[in-house]
Amino acid sequence: MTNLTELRKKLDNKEISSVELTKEYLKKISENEALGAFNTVCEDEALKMAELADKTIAEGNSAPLTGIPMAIKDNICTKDIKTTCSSKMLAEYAPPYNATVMEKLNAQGIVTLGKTSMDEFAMGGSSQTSALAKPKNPFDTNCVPGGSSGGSAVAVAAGLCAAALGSDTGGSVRQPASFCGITGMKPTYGTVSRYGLVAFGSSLDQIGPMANSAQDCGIILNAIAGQDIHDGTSRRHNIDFNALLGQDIKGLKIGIPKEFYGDGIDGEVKNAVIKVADFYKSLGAELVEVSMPTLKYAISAYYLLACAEASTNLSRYDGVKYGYRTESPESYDELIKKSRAEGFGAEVKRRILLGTYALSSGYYDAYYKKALAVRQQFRLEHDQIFEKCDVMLTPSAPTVAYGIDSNINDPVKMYLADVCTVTANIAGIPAISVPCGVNSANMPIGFSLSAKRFDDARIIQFADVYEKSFAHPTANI
Amino acid sequence: MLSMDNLKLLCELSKLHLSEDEMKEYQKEMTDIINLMDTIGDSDFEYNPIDMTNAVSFGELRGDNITEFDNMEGIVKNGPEVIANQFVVPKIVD
Amino acid sequence: MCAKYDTIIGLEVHAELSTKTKAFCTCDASFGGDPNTHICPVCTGQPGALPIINHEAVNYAIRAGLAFGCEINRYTRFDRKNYFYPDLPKAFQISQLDLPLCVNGKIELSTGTTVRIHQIHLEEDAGKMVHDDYHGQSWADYNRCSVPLIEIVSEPDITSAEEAAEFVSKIALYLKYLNVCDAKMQEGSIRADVNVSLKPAGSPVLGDRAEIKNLNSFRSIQRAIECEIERQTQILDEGGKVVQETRRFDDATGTTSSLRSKENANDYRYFPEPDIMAISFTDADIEKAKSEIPLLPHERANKYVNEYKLTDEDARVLTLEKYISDFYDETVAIYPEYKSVANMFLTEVMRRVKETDTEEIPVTAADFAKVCEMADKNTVNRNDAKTIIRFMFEEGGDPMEIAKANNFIVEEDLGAINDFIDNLFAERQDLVDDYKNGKTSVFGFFMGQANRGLQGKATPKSIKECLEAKLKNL
Repeated sequence: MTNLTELRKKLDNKEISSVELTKEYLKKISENEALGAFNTVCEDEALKMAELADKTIAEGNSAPLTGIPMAIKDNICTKDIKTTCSSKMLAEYAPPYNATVMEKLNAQGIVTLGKTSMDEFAMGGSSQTSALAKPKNPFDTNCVPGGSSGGSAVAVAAGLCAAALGSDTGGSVRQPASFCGITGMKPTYGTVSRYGLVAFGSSLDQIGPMANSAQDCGIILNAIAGQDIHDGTSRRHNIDFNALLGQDIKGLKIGIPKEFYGDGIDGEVKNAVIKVADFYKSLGAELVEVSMPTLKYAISAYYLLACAEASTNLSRYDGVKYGYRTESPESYDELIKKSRAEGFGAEVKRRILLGTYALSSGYYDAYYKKALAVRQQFRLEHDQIFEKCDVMLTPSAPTVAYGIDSNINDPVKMYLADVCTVTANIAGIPAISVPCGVNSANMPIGFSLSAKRFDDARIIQFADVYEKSFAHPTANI
Repeated sequence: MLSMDNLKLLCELSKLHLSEDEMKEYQKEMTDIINLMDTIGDSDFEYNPIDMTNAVSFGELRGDNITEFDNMEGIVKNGPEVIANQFVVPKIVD
Repeated sequence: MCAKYDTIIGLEVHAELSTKTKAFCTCDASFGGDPNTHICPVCTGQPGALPIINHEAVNYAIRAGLAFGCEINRYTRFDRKNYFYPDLPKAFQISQLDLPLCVNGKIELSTGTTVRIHQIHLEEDAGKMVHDDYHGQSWADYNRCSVPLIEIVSEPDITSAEEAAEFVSKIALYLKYLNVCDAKMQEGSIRADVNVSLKPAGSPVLGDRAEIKNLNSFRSIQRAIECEIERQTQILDEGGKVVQETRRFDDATGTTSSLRSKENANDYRYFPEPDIMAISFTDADIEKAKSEIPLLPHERANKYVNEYKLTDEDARVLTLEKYISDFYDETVAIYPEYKSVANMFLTEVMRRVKETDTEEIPVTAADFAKVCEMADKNTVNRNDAKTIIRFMFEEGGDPMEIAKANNFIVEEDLGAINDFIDNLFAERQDLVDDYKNGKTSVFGFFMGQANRGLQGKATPKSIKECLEAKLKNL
């Protein structure tokens, strides 16, 4: 795998043109169609963008991402390019506008290769709730790639793009990154604009990079982050995500939250992450035990908050303004009820129903309001934890990628599997998943680092230190 | 167990048309999911509605200056049924 | 009013704010425009679009709150109100429930009733639907979507239909004076929902209430309440029970009817809007908003009486409508003869503007000031000045040009003035002698006689000069 810094050099030295690079990726994409990474491949647009990028490069005006072919998760709005959220509901929807991140990437002159498949409306951890392409794990095509940003993870892991964007509401960047042996990061809530990211759980959603290294993630974040006038929850900040690269971690403290190393975590995964801790310790970092007693409420709080928000975020899909519409409805009521019933898949409906339940009269206090209180407690608890350590180290997921037919039909089991990742979203903190080898079945394992809010550069520093010593596993495709 | 009546109300509120068979399936699944959610009932943290970390000061809000969107046709174009530049639905009766 | 029952009325008044842009996006918020030409991804609820709150909308809402004596919550938050309707693209309205901008105000009515304001909050308007009966279709236009509204929620302190109408018209007038709402009922910029309940006279127990939604004129508010009181009286007289429900008023038949029960069964599932941060205010923010409150009607009337020395009645009439008061203010800013301008306005302009339905005066304040001055200085005589105003209203034109074209300019013939004075002196030689003997007070008599005799032919100024010259040379 070539990282972005090397690609930049090659492009600027004219060893390869962006058009040549784009053609290479397009060829690999078509050869690997069976991996189901993409819902839409935009060949013509990509080549046009590559030509433009080559001009910019020839003029000596290249930005860090000029001419770099990227894959974009299919819930990030791309003007006039279909943005389906892997749903029948939006299968034909071409947004009239670009997400802010796309405006920023386009301003740098990236090449958009296509839109990657995902769990429908980002609801799932397997990418198998997609109504369109169903992505498969490049390490074993009988296994899920994780989700919801499964398509982006597959595209990066299989070398179908130089890097990708995903989105992360409860682990949707980090868990598939971990399942597919790549690096994926969810930045601090509010650092990257959500304008144009099709909303799932608005107070939890963040766009994040998925790439071949932590440094690549930092390069992409430097391009897409910043306060946005179109997103009132984006924050003013001046983070250089790669500011701490190469700095010594000696004397820095790594928090080990004991709750993340319990029975629910697969033994091989646990051992791999403990080895990571030992590695950091060998470089002079100090390991400190920390505690997150509220973790036992994390899953319920996360699902209640995310689904409550989702239930109303997804109310706009009514077959009136855009999207799927049922045949010949008799009345407005029938139009919306049938369009929604036919346009949404089962998992989306379950989450809408759960969210509606949590907000409905008589249940609000017992569910939604309790979840709000747990979130406040989580923030407090994380503040306390990060007084004791600089970063926290956990597994990225309780297991490695599982078989496509195993537990994806048991929603409760699926929900419980999110326990390692949802806390970062609830607390709004940055978190990154980095590959740390494979298990006995040659499936990738990932570890996660998190830090206090706006300390994003710190976790990239730690991740980079690890990656300097340990290469990512490679898929045999 | 989530009652059938409650599930029907949820379907009505969220405007989802489900068949009888689907309803039975969802009743079981939603019951399991809600049981999982019930773990939050054991928590007893106080929610403080006033959270200054989640607030902006009045002076930071955007100014009242018109910027027209440059692709209104792109919005209307996506309409499943459009007449006279308006979105059409079966006649509303209240 | 039937004495058997006490009437209890509460109102929710919705007023569109006259900001340039919408509440949550930068689209043009002005009324009109071809269908779907004031739209963007935000106000049409495109996937991924996010609301961005308008500073001015919040500012206007606070200004209204302060004018109605409200406290401003130093921490305010928005909530989503969820329901499906084709004029609501997101299927939720951004509104405020628990932490609204303004709370605990009051409005005094002329009946002596004080109506407490429970809260004033900011929310967004919905789009417009037109119905095609022939094809059985409804069409949605989103130009109005997300235009800012304030909702003024009263406590149930109102006791009659007349009071309710006064309450709403007072709000409308104040909002106009505050420059936050143009209060054009025909454009739907003010609408009201009313809650009506009856209880046995003197009973402390509240009756069940019916809500009548979406009344859009002072008249329909008053009529709808009268009808509803009548309906509920009849039910109670017959020993029945009023159903708590939402009703609609039909202007044509003058009756209220129940809306489908579905509307009543709605559970709006309010919850904090995650896309908009809460807003915090400092004392300085509130002080600044206070300093931006313009003079309210009664304050302007006081100024007219105390500073301009107008009568109470004239001051009251001039401040009944903001555009009238504005026109008067503009005129006296150019020509500060307060009483004379007021008199000319009240006698000549008022009835003409009252005849039209619009709030437009077809004459500029500058031209009106000019006519007042011409009349005062006798450049034209007062009756001709009135004719000039009529011409200006009917045909337009510059007052001086009109005066010239119609030979209204008073010609100054000094010979005629001197002849008149000579005659006058000859007739009243006795008074001329008095003057010579030092009784200068007879000057006034001569002046009065000459003014009367020369009216329309000479200005008082010229008469005075001629008279003084003659008396000096006696």
